[in-house]
Amino acid sequence: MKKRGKGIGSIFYGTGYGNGFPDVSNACAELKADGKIYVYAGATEVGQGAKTALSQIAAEAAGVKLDKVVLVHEDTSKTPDSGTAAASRQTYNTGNGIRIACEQLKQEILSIAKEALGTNTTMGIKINNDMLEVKGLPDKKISLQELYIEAEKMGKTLRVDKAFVAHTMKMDDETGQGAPYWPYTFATYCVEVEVDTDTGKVDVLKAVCAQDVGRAVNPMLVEGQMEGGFAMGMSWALYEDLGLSNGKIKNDNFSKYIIPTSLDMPEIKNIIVEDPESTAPFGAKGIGEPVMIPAMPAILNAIYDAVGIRITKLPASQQEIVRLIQEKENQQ
Amino acid sequence: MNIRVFSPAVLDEALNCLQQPEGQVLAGGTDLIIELRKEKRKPQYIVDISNIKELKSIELGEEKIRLGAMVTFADIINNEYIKNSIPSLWEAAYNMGACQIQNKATIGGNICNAAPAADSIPVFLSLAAQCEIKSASGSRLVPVSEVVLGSGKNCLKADELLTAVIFDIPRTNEVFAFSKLGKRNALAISTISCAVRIYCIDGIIKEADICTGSLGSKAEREYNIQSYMLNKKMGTLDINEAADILSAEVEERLKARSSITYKKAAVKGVIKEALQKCINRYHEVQCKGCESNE
Repeated sequence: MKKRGKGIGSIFYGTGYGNGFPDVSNACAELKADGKIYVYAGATEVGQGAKTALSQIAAEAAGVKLDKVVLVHEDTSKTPDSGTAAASRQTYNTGNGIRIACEQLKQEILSIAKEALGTNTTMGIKINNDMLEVKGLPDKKISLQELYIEAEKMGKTLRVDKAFVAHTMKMDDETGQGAPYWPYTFATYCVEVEVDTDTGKVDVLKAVCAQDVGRAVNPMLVEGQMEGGFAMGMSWALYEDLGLSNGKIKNDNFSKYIIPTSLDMPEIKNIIVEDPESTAPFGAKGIGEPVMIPAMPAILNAIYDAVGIRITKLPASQQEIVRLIQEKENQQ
Repeated sequence: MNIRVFSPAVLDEALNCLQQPEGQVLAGGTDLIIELRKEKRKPQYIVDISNIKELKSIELGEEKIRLGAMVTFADIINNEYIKNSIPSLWEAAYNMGACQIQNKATIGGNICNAAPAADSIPVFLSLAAQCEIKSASGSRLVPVSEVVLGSGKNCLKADELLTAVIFDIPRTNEVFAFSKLGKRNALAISTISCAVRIYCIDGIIKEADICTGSLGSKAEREYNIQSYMLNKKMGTLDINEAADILSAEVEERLKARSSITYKKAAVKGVIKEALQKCINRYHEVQCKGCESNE
C-alpha cells in the first residue's frame, strides 16, 4: 500500500571555521592601465558560483559595472590567502575582504579624480560606468584609463590590500557554552513523500524550501544552490551508503554508491528569505552547506507522518523501512 | 593481454570462427568489456558479432515475432509495435540501464550473460520464448527457460551462437506488464522484477504467466500464483491475495537466504503494480472493443 506524509526540517548554521579558530580572508583591489579593477582573492570556484557573486560584490563596492571587474582567483602566485572554499564562508568572509578593499580603492580613485577634475571634495564626483564626472557638470569628466595615467604622473599606485577577520570565540571547554560563530544562517524545508509499505520505496513528491540568505547577491545562483543542496540532502536521507565493512568501502563506484537521478527529484518550490546581516557584504550570508541540511530531517519526519516509524540510521534504505514497519505491526 | 579479435560480417563465418577452442562471443560488450578490463575473463580470441546484419532485425510474421540476437534495448524502445502490443518487453528495455547502455546492450547478450537481475529474461520467460541456437553443424530451438541455467550460466556449447529469440504474436485480450524495484527510479539494477502475461476469454483468465527476476540465481516462473489466477474473473481479481501467494512461494524457495525477510515483503509491491497495470490495460482493450462495436 502507498501512504503519504508530510514533514518539516528547520536548521541554523554557523558560518565559517568558528570556535576561536582564526578565520581571515585577504583580498586586494587594483586599478590597472586598461581602466579595469582587478580583484585578487584566493577564493576557489568549485561550481558554487563564488566567481560570479564575488565579482558582483566587487563591482557594487567599487561603484562600477560588472564588466569593469576582473576577478583573479585560484592562482597562488597572484592571489593572497582567502582561506578555504569551505564552511560556507566565501560569500561572507572573502566577500567582506573584497568589499573593504574595493570601497577603499574607490575612495583613492575619487581622491585622484578630485585633483584631476579640480573639485573641492570627493563628494562632488560620481562614477558613471567607466567615467568619473563632476556632479551637475557632466561634461567635465575623466575616464578610469586616463585617471590611471594621472595617478602614475602623481607617483601613486592604486592598489589596496585588505583583510577581513571574522568574529569567532572559543567555546568554554567545561560547559560547551559560548559564541563560536557569526553570523548564523537559517532554513526550513517542507516535503511530501509517498512510502510503499510493501517495498519500502520512498518517493519524494514535492518540496518547499525557505532559505535565509541575508541578501541574495545573485538569486538565480541561490536557487541553483538550493536545488542542488536539496538533492544532496535527499541523497543523504535515502540513498548514499559507503557500505563500510571492517574499514573497507564496499560501495566504491557509482553503480553501487547510489545518488538520485532527475527521475527521483521532486518538484521544488524555492522561497528566498532576505533579512540583511549588518556585518555582511551588502547583507549577504553563505548558504553552501545550509541548503543541504534541512532536507534530511524533513524527509525522515515525512516518513514518520506517512507510516509511523522513526529512522535513526542513514540512509533510510528500503530494507530498513520495511523492517521497521513490520516491527511496528508486530508490536501492535 | 593478447587477444585475437575476429569481426565477421556474415553468420556462417562467425560460426566457423567458434569452432576453435577458448573463444568468446562479443555482442554489445556492456558486460564483457568490463570483465576483460578486470581480467575476470581471459579468452584466447573474441568473435565480434556486431557487424552481422542478419542478427539485427526485428521480424513480425503472421504468427511469430523474431528478434535477432543483436537487437539492442534501444531498438526495442524505438519499436512502435512492441511498445503498443508487448508493453512488458518495452517496459523492461526502457527501464534498463542508461541510454548509452540501451544503445549497446543486446537481447542475445542479456540472455547469454544470464545475470540473476537481467531484465529481459523474466519477460522472455513469460512470453514462452524460444531461442534459436546455431553452430557450424546445425541449428536447434530451445525454450529460454532451458537456455538460462543459473547465475552466469547458459546451455550453449562452445561452438554455438544464440542467433534469435522467437515468440508468439499477441492475441486480442492478451495483456502484458513488467515492473521492477530498484534503489532509485532510473539507472538502477533490479532488486526484484516481475513480468506478467495474461490471456482472457470472456473476461476469464485462461492463461497466466508470472515470471520473476533477482529472486534467486536465475529468473523463475512462479507456478502457485499462476494456478491461483487461472479461471478467475479478470474484473474481480484480488491482487492482494495473489501477491500473498507469490510471497509465500518466493519464501519457500529462498528461505535459507538472509535477504528473504525483505524480499518476501517487497515482491508483493512489485507484483501488485504489474497486475494492476495488466488489469488497467485489459480494461482499455475492452473499452476500445466497445467503441468499435458502436
